[in-house]
Amino acid sequence: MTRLVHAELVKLRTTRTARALLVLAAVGTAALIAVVLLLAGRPGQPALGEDALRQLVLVPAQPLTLAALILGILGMAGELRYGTATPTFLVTPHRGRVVVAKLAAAGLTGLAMALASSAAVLAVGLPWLRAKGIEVAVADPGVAARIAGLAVAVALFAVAGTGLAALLRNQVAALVVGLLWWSQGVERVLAGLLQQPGLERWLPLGAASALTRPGDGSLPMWAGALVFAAYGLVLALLGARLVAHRDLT
Amino acid sequence: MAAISVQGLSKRFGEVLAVDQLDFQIDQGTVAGFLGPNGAGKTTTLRMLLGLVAPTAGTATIAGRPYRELPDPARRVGAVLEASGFHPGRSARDHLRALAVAAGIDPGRADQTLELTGLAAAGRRRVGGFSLGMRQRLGLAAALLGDPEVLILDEPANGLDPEGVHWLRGLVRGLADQGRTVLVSSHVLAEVAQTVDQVVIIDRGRLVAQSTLAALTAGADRTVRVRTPQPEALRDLLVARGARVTLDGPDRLVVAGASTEQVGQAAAAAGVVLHEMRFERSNLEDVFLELTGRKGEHS
Repeated sequence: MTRLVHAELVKLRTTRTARALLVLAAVGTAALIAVVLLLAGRPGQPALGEDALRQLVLVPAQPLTLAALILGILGMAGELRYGTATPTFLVTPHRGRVVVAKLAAAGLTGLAMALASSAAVLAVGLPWLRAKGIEVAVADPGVAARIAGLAVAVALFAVAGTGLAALLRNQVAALVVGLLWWSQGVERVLAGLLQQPGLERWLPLGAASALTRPGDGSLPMWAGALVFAAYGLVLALLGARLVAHRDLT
Repeated sequence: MAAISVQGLSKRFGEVLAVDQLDFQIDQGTVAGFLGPNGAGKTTTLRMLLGLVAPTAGTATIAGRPYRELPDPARRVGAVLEASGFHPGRSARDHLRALAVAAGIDPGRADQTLELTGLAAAGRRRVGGFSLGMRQRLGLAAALLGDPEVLILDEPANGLDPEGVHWLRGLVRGLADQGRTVLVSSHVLAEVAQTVDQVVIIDRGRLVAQSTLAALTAGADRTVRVRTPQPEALRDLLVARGARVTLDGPDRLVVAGASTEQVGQAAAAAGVVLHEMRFERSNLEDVFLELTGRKGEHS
């Protein structure tokens, strides 16, 4: 299994997409944080306080989850789109293991993206805040919890993207469905239709927001993580089953 | 034990019966041609043999086991299927290295197989810019990664230029000389005639013939074409001597199963006038087309 995960990581590393997303996670975050810090305290913008770091680490959460979702979709759907699934399954006829390796590789890459982003937040934010004379505690457990929560969420979005692509098998369809879902429209409409506003936080994206926007009427972080992981796992299992049993013509 | 064994193999795609009760065996160390017109079911059969398509009925085994149950399949079987299995943004070398890692093969083997297939100079280029011939070579490089005993090549000459076809022949012959089993499919018999010991011919999903190449050539009919003003008389003479004769126009005969000497003697003995006589050897391609019942469609 280790060598299969390794092989999937080699595949991700050797196309431009994953490398670009990783660089973008760090550089994009740094730029985003710089803008937020520049605008802070201006009319209409929140001022920076002692909890500034807690807010800053989650500033790039939305673009990060989207990037991870796309990474997962492209990794899985690309294999079917370009026909690399044939050599892949010739080497590893046990297709379920290939899908599991892909889920793991996507999750690890998502984790790396989130950590690169958080490192960029600290690298830009800490000196900046210090220069402005704002004291922030680096060892704040709230900051650590948010960084960990974000990392888990981004990793799970990559896993969900992989599962979605395995299920739909078509890159364009997976991207369209993934984007629609990610934009929150589907879940909000669903909760509205059922007239259950409380339902939203139990839906996948709502559960994920416990990690990317903690507080805010959502589940506790750990519960959100578990619920979101469960959705991702179900999606991945269904996708893996489908991939395992289909003829590859 | 047969290196490759197909028994009662069938595959139905909806309404289409692509492969119908197919049986054949390839012995170890044999180079076998897998022949049939386009759409005969060759690719489907090979994909079932490789565990990529599930048979509707029957079994396909390599070294006695279904592909999916082979331990370390990449070290036992190498396969080249259609030329599209590459990510355009990945380099040839990285493509091979990723497969090697998954198979537990030393990634350094990637450079060796690039060398073997004449791609060493292009190894670091992205596959998106490769010609069809280069992709075929890369497919072969991937098949050779695990140094397998059995090679399954689906139309490997597609997209190769004449120089490439010549190279491929040499490569397959070299692999065979090392005692490997090779099953190579083609829709053109001439393409593999110089390389194979044995042929399996299928059409419309069914087995048409399995024999050695020598037996197939021997079966190729020799015919004599005759022009004479007394065709009926000559026909009766030759039929009486055991030849198969068909009238081909008002003054022409096509004679099978008799030599020019025999025809000439028969005519002279009965005083039949001959205007023209010509010996014709039908080539392998004709045999192939006749066997697959597609002769008329090509003339």
